[in-house]
Amino acid sequence: MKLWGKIEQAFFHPISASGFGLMRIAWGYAVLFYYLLEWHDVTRYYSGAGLLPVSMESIVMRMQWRFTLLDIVTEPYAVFGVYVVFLACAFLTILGIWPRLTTILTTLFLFSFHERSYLVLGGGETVLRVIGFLLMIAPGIDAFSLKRFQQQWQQWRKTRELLPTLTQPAWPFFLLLWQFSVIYLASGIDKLFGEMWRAGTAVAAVLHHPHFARWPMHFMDTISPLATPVTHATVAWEFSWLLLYIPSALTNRIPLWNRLVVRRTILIGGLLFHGGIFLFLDVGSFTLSLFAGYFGLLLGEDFTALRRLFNRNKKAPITVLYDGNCGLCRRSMFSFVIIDHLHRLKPVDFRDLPARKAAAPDLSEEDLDRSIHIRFPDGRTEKGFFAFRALAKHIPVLWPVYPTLFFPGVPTVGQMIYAKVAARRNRCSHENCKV
Amino acid sequence: MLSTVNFSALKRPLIVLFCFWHMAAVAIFVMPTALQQTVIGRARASVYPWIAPYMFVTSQWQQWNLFSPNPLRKVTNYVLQAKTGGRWKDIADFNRSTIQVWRRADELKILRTIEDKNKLLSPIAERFLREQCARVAVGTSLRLIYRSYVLPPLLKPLPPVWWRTYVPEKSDVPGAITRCPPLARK
Repeated sequence: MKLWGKIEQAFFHPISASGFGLMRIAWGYAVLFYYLLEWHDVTRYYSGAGLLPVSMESIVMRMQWRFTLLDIVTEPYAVFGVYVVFLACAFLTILGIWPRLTTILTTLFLFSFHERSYLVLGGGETVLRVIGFLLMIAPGIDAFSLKRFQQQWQQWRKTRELLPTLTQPAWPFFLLLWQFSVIYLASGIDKLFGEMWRAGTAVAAVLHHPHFARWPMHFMDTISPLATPVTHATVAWEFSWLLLYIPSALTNRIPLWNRLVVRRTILIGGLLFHGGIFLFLDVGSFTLSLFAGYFGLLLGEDFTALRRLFNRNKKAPITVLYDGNCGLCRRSMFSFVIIDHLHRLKPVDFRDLPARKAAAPDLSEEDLDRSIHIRFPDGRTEKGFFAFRALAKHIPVLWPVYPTLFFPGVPTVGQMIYAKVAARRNRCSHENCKV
Repeated sequence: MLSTVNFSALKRPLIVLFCFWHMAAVAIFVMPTALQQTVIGRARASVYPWIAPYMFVTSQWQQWNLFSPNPLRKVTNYVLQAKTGGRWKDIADFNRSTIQVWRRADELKILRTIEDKNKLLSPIAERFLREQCARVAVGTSLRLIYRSYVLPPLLKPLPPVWWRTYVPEKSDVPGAITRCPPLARK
């Protein structure tokens, strides 16, 4: 009974579902991206009129315990139709529209394409398949979905607060962690039997293989002295995944042992390892597929630590003064809050007098009524387009746009657009107002 | 009888059982080939019939031997030759620099698989050649040549200057052959 209690606690204690939500999005992108690349060849690879007709499947494929829709749908136009539906499902998975249904459909389509022909399959495709399976059965894949967005909006309308972080039981995380550990440990054990891995020359050989080398050979020659330490570091890092399975009864006795630090070091090692592969070698979809899986290995405390790291020089939040009587303004404020992943914004309805007096006593309601105002902890104030531009710097999803807001002419056009929208914003008070 | 079973009470134990089963199945299935001749390998062989159906039906089959036990040393350029005037002439070369970047990984994977399982996959290689018939006149013979060399088995690290002066010895191995029929032309 005591043992079951421990197992139950380990498998079912709630953990943040954000990692799996991000993994769903990244996996959807990887599937969509790599299958879009096959647009011109899809009937060649998977239809009965292509390289592998159904009558020849037995020379390439195992025939037992194998199910694929594409054994039934074999005509090229029909295969292309299935392919388009598959891509549409992957796209909906990214957006999180009916996330459970679209994730299951995308995974089943993925299985069908993989089981139809092994000719184009590699390690990356296998990673996509195993992640798809885990996403299909994990209870918490709704984070960062449109479904979740709608739930958050309903909550925000009622309380001006967001819902607490979505959680799921820990078991899907364990299955994913186990899958990654198996990948690296199986690969590490196999490498120990290779003379070139033991001699420290394996990476040099891979760098000089023209099928994989991303850069000209003279460049690969130049970096080859680094190959020996990288070869040994690769094997050591693959075995480091074993450290995650040392019982806490033992690690508690090791001075300075910190489970969080060990786990994060291994994950950062993975980013460096796969980032290096991506930078120097062309190994198809392998790297990006694995990166998608790394999102699922992030726990709530990792997101908190990342936030702390980014906010290490920030002492107080930025106050955003918005008009609580205007539907468009409430919706805009909600949009900022929902993407405020670094928790740097503090929304204040300037129609709420005590709140306004506390946040910006020097600003009048008339001034604030003209445009959005933001106030920094140091007392600096920005408004209108410039407030939006300043906020973009603090909202990670807007970082790609942020530099473009400084391009010549953009501020002028931005101010004009902002002024037009602001002038029309009070046409109606409900949130679905078209401006 | 069924109505007396409390299914919600069984839910958690069933999930835990499934997790243990799945984790064991994945770990046993991916056992490195190098271990398959050992005691562990023999133990794996005895449970394989139990786990294989699960791994295949759920499409979780996997093997993690990318670049191991040793990295791939054989480098092949896939050359298409046409017979004109009684002599074989190169008409195309499939390699990293001649295949579009978005098709490169898939096309090279197909060609590598055809090369590795040369005899077994000769019907696939012939279909590949038939696709190339639009390049030549009706009735022309086409063949695939594996123009390859093998990187040396590096047992000690070599300096950049060695790599710069390294000149591989290439050899041609003929693969599948076909004669372009009129129907194959587009």
